Amino acid sequence: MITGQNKARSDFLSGAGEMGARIRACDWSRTPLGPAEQWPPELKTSVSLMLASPHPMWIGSGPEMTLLYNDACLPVLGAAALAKPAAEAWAGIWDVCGPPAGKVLDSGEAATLDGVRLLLDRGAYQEEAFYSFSYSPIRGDSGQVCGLLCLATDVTPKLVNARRLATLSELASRCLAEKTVAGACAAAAQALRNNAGEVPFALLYLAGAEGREARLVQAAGDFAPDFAPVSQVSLEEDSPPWPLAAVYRSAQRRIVDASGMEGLPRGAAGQPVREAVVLPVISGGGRPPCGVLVAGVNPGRPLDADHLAFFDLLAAQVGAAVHSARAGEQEQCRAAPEAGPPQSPSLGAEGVSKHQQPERASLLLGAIVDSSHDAIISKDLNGVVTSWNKSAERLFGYTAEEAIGRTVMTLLIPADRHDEEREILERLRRGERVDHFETVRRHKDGRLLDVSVAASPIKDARVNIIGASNITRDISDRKHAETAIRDLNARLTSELAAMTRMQQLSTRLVAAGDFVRLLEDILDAAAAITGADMGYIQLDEGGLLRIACSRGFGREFLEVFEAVRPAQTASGAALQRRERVIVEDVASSTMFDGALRDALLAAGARALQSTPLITRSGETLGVFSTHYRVAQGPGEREQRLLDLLARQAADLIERRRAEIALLESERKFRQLADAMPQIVWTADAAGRPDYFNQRWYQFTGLEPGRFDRQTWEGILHPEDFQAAARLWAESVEKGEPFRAQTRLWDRAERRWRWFISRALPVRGAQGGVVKWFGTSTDIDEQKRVEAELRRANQDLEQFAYSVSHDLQEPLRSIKIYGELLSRRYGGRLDGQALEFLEYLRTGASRMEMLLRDLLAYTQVTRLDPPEEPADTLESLQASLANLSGAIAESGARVTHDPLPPLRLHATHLRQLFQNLIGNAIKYRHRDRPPRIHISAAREAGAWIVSVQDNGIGLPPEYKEHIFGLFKRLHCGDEYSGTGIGLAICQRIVERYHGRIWVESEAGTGSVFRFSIPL
Amino acid sequence: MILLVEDNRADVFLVREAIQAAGIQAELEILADGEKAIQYFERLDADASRKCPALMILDINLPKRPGNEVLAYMRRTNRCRDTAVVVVTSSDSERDRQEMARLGIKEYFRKPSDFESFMKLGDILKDLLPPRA
Repeated sequence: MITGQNKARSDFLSGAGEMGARIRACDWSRTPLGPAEQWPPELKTSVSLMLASPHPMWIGSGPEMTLLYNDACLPVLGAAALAKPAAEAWAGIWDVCGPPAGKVLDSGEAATLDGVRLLLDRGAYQEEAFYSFSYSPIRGDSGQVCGLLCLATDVTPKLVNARRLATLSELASRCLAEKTVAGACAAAAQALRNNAGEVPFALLYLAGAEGREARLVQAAGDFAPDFAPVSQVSLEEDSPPWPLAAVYRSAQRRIVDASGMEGLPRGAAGQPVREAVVLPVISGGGRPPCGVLVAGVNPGRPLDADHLAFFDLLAAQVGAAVHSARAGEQEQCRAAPEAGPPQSPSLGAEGVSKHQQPERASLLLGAIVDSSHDAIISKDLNGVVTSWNKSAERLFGYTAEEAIGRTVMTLLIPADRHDEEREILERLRRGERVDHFETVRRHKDGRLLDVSVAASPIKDARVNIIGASNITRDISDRKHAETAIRDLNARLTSELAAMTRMQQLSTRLVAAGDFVRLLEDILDAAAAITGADMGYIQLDEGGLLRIACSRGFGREFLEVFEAVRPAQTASGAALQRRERVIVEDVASSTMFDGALRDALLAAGARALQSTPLITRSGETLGVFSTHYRVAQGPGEREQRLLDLLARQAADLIERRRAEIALLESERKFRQLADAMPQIVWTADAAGRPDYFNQRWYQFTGLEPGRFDRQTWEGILHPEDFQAAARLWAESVEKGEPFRAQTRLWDRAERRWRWFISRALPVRGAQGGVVKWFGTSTDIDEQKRVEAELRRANQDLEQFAYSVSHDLQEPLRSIKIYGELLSRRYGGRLDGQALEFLEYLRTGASRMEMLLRDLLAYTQVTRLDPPEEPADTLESLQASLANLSGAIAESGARVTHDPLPPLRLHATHLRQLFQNLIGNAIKYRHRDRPPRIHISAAREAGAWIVSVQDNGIGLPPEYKEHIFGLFKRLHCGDEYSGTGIGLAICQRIVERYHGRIWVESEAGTGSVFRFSIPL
Repeated sequence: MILLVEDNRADVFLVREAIQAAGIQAELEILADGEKAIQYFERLDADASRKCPALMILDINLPKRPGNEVLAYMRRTNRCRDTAVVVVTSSDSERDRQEMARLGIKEYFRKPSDFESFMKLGDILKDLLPPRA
């Protein structure tokens, strides 16, 4: 019999996965949460919800916010953080995450934390990751907050990409304003310094005019005071630590192991930089490069393809900046003689110095635009598009031809955002940058896109603002993700609330045990929700709808309505249609039989609704109706709540019925069990015995009642106690069948008797074990006979061994002296004496063979089971070596397929092959040389090895016969043999629980097959 | 002198044949059970005038005391602890082989069941004896 508590426990912790198991195994009584069985039902519900979720989730509960989490959190938290206070488990980020969590617990309001930076321990290094946390309160039955549920979302790729783009963007905009190479390099270095999180250090070398040496022009990063980067290096020969010459000459980037280098600036979380990338700085697409950039790699992120692409882009931008500045310097030189006052900012495309500006813009953009996923648009200060990259085409649907020459305003800006674009243009004219902001743009097809836009002014060599560059990023994915997280969160919260309500009701049912009282509660709740005046719940009992509980109706009404045929009422119609029926005016409805309608009206019910009670499995149990004194129906919200209540009522009724059925079946089971000669018992899900049949009490002399370790110690043999307890605990833990042989104390005979106990788990609808059903069968007699048989068998084997061994001794003398007799006295014996002597010698030889084989036969069982499988090919070759004489003499050819290792002793396997192949040679066909083939096939848990020959075969009626001891089909003159070989084979194979058989056709050959279990 | 501990007269004959066939010129002393062999070694230690055997040929399955006990006893005597021993037996058991090897023997000769093979014992013995024994 299982109690409600046990069920609740096994249900809520039945979640699969590693953390489910760890939570089960944890001793919660040592934590502030107390034993798991005593947790509030809402916490249990939340834990099972969390365990079932594929998203990383954790729960903090109790005064220390004791931590529980699911498998998806393992990469972040590891396994050891379970049951730790949240502040300890999240130590690195609790200063950020703790206060909002505390607030959720205090205020009961959900909260979100975006992009929290975490360092994940990856053994050799700490990985930088970003997570968003979304907290929801877990509420107890009285509404108080008893914990918080947190959904964590990995936003690392998003934030890392954003940071890299910001680095590139800052680099571009800083360099753009510079007109000298030195200035551009300094600006680039400054941009990198500002983004040390992504690039811990950088060294920029520019090549001399001849390309023979390079000079360090900029160093970014917090180098140790004694670390002096070499300022002048050869580009013809590499000198440590950086392969500058090789990179310069090949124009190919290199990755350098920097893990041993002293004095380098450190990266994320103070970790040493392990790698640096040395990149060629290429200006204007030409070779050779104009310099080399050494960039430290952020040690918190793996150097993957995206990461490398970032460095390539970085070097390309530096190259573009250098190129652009050089062009500017040359321009400056040319322009110097006629230098005048700078022109005022021009507002029209016409004002742009037509041959200078596009060149500079394209040079700069060319490097980054193609590889960018962002839409990059340049426009003049009137907002007319002057360039339009591929990503812009992809994002907005317009081709470059369509877009260039038209204004951004007409192309992309939705009507309600025109002011925004005007303001942007205004700021650009003033020379200001516009940082990324989120807005909406219009696609060619009219669709609105979520985007993030940034804009920078473009200046010409004379610092005139001549236009602007717009970077637009598609953030619809991110927006979708955010919406999805919000939705998920809302769904979880409402699901949690519904489940909690459900659980409260079921807990009450189990606790109170009063069925009608509970239905009344439901009716009361319905009345309160819908403003109904009356109501009842009718159950379907053999075709009649019988009122199980009612509210607000008098005795007279109930007498009429107590049990009605479904066809006569609205509730019957609801049951039949399996959907709610609403009667807004009973008086005019045709659904009722006249008497019933009158009864309703007399009771004051002018309107009603009837909702069928349908279980999760689709069975209709009855109807749940509420009635109103005025002619009206329930509103949409009321109907939804009624649905919820109806569903709960259906579940509860079904459960109660199942319980009643269970009690009944249990009673029958006991009746049956008591009539059985075996001991029959059951145990609860935790493995505690909760029932034994009469036979048990007879045998043990125990009284029904408590059962503890001491009770067991009095009944179970001390030598069997531990093993049985271990096996039982294992079975209970894994939910696998239990089987153990133990001795139990027989009170009547005052001795131990052997029993075999078996138990099977009984699983509930959810698949969890709810009960164990076990039997213990007396096998004492069987055991005794087995032992005797084993002893007798051993004696017999020993006897056969000794006999065959001792018989060899005198036989040897007979043989040798027979030989000696013919050798020394042969000349003096007559023909018949010599013939007799020959019979004597062949008889002795045959006896010797018999004894040898008999010895082998008795020795089959003398080896312990093998520890490792035998190398089949090796055994085959050993047997062939032993048979080499016979093989050569007969001209036999033995072939084989690939052979698997087999689980038996190599000696035995060799004997098998030797006997079977030996037989194949021995019983060869007179007209053809033996062809023998060995193959193996997998079949139903065993390997089947086949030895096929082309010999004389054997008639089918002898297929069984030949495996018997001393059985032969041929007389000794035709074929020599002892008739023991196949008996040995059979004995070997059976020892390993395999079998051996033959398939043969007389005259064409035989296939001997044996199976060896895996 | 060669000491032969062997109870089977048929085998004594064969050993003698093998010795002769190999042309070994040595006296053969024969003891028919294990107890006699142990007493023999006792007497040797007690009486220094007696001659020690140059070689012992020992069967394992012997009446009264088995061959391994004889050998173990001999290895503890004063005068014969280092005497060369050839085991000649019908036993093929691995346990016997290991037991005898542990006690230190020159050769484990399994009694064959044909005459020619038995005669090979003579060559083995000859190799173990000093040239003019």
